[in-house]
Amino acid sequence: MKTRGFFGIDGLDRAIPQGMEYGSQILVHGDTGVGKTVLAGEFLKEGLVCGDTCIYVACDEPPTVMRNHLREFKVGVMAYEEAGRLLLVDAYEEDESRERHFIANQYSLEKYAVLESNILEQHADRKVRLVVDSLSTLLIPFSQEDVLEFHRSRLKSLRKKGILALDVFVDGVLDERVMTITGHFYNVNVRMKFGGPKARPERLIQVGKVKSGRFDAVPHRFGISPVFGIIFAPDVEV
Amino acid sequence: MMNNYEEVYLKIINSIYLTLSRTTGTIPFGGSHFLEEITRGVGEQILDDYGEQLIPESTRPSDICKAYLEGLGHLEFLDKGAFRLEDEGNEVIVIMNQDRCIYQDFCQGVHEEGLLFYCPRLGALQSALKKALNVEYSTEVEFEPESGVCRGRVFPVKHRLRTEMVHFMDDTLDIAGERAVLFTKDVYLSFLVAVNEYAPFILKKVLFDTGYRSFLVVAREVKGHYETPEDYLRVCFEEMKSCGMGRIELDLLDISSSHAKINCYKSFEVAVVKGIKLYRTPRVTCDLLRGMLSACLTVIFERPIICEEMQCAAVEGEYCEFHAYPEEENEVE
Repeated sequence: MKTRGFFGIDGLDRAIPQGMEYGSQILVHGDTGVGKTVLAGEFLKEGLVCGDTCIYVACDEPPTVMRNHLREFKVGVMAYEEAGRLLLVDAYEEDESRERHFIANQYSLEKYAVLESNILEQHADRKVRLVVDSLSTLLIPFSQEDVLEFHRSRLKSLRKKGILALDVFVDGVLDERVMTITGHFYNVNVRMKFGGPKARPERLIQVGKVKSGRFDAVPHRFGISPVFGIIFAPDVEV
Repeated sequence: MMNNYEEVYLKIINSIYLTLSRTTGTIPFGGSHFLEEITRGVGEQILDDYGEQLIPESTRPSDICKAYLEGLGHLEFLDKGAFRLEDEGNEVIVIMNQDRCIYQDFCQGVHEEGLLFYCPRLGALQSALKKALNVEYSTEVEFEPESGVCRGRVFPVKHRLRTEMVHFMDDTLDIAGERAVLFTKDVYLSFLVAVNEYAPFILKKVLFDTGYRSFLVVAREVKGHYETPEDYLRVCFEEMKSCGMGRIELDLLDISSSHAKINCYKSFEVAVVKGIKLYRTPRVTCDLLRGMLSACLTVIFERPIICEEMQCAAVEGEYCEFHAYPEEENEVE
């Protein structure tokens, strides 16, 4: 039986009871501040306890933000980094990075793909989770055709390598049409948004598998606890 | 030259001790303590019967031991020439020739079978010292096969394992004076299943915190009694093993960087989840022990330490591997 991976968030995992095969790709998109990076952190924490090598590519902020975030949840970041089980890759500071792993010179999507691939090659014998947060930031300067071609070839390569990948997209950054097509390249789509009354907005999440035609259209409420992370309320429908 | 009766009696005495060693080795919660109590108890009985004739020259531990040995020599029971006693601080070093010791069959049997061992002769000296000085003593002995000499130590007890202090009296069980209860892995598993069903997101943290908080008290208590970190950790690990957590061994200790690697064999937490589909995917499971180890290292390094389980026998391998590092302050972003 093939090993399958989960998000590490109970309610969300119940929505995909069979889990995701390594080689699957997850698209997470949503409003700014809704909790996409927190979800990425949960995904990494789950990978660490399951013995995966977790690679986090930080594009919007320095990797230290994720390092601090994990520490706040009492993750022994140093133990995992020293053992080479957690790689925080700086794609934010570029040449000025003081991180052990960084991706510089991202003015070409081809170059990015090669640099990302180089890092993955170094861990080819392991079970790997990859998070790019956020991929949409990297794609801003490029044309629709280039972006779609990049997705096609990159996701194909990740699938071949058996990488369980989670790409974060910030809503409103890329063209809606590009996002719709992009969604079809991924095995699992997760949408996070704010809803409810403006005075008291609620965090909502929808999860589905676009490729198999299944999409759980019912948004579920979730909260973010400073101690436990994302707490999903699967039985509370909006 | 021993007569037939003496030989038979010696065989009986030696086999009684050997059987006691075999039996106490299988007793949970301080089998070793019980064996020590038995060997010491025999000495106490002799003292009760003949103690009035044993008058030491001074209150120096070696003089008290000499008086005891000489007393028994007068009773024509002991070949006192087989012993040499030396003071070393408040300890007594006892040098003995094994071929002149009446317990040599017991001693050899214990070493061959790898059993618990307390030397009955030293146990008697331990009793004499306790009676004379009202101080708890313990003993240990090393045998040098080349010279045929046993080197024993009788030393004041620094600290007793909590798990050695288990009593069942007046319908209540207590460990080191604290009310206790025993339960099997099924009860523990039921607890895990219940938490996992109602609030799965808290399980890992609850187990870690439980281990951490509960062992912090024990770790602080142990720390005061041991000078080297290795000795302190050995006692902490012994305490965890006596509680049934598994056999814990230190693999690496770097004091300068407050870093340690620790392995656990036959982890209780692994045994609980083995063959049970508690989690969706195989994962590291020893969070209770992880918390205990973090507490133990936090006390010895005097700074917050966080221990991660990097490999768990519940997933693969023969043992669980823990890596500990200081809990770092968040960096300025």
